Amino acid sequence: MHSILLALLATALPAVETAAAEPVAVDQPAGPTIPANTIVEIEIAETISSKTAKVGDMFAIRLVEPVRIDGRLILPIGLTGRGEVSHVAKAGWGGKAGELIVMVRYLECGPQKIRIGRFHFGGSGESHFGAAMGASALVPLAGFLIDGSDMTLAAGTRGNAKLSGAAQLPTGDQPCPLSSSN
Amino acid sequence: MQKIIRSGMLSIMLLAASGVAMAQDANAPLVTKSGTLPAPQAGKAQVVFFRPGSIMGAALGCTVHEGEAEVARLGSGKYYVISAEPGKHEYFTEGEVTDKLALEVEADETYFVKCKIGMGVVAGRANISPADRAAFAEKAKGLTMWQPKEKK
Repeated sequence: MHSILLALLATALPAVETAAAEPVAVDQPAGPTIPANTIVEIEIAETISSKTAKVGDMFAIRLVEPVRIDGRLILPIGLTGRGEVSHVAKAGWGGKAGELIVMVRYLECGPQKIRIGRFHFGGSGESHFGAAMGASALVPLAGFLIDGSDMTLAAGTRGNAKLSGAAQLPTGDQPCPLSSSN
Repeated sequence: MQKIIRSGMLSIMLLAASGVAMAQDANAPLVTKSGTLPAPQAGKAQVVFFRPGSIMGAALGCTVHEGEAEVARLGSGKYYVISAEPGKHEYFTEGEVTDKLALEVEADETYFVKCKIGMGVVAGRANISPADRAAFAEKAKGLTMWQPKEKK
């Protein structure tokens, strides 16, 4: 039992030390407010394909350009967040192309979620309809054996979004902390 | 595969920038045979359904529904603009198969949906898919706005 407690303390201590070592803002009663519609540059952090994705799947996003207010760093590069798949259609017979629409939902500033939106990715894969028609003309119905392409959104794909509303941060003078997984 | 990823990246950069591009492109109106595409009503989203002119399935219509309502009936080379409440919508076409498009829209934004007649077993089938401003702009000069018939 003691050894278990000691082991738990040992794992907990570094986190406490890290927290204690962080500078504490004393002259900043409230954190900065980021105005609504502030543009944030983000990238998709994992590959998404219409072949495997489902509506409602959440995926990781990452901030790729810092956000500053009056020259002060507020949102650092690497801040993580989440997006959501809102529409998927798999590529199908007859050359039907795959479709994929993703939305971005929020960036994480510690426990606070900063809502973002006005970013939507919609697109469809390469349609092989022409090829399917060609095949069908030679051999009736053979066109249905030809698939369209699925839509793939590669990890690292960049875009930008906007804050859905003003966000007041609880971080005093400090920029939003990066999560430990960064 | 690389081609798909490249085109996907290009599309996302174009679409992703749409939040910003909306404002930037406000100076570059989208002009069709029927006039200039309007801006969304304040607090509402706007969805533009369009069907580029094509010989493929030209005789077939592309009728878009949402729930029980008919949203647009697009012949070849037609488009139609609707105002939509922000939130989730599901549009669909019926025919040999039902093709659905789930679209989540946000206020003051314009969305583009392309209709294309694909290959069916007996007849062509209308497929609606997400598109972008650039895709519409490319075809805009050849498009005429659909005029819904007055209900008697």
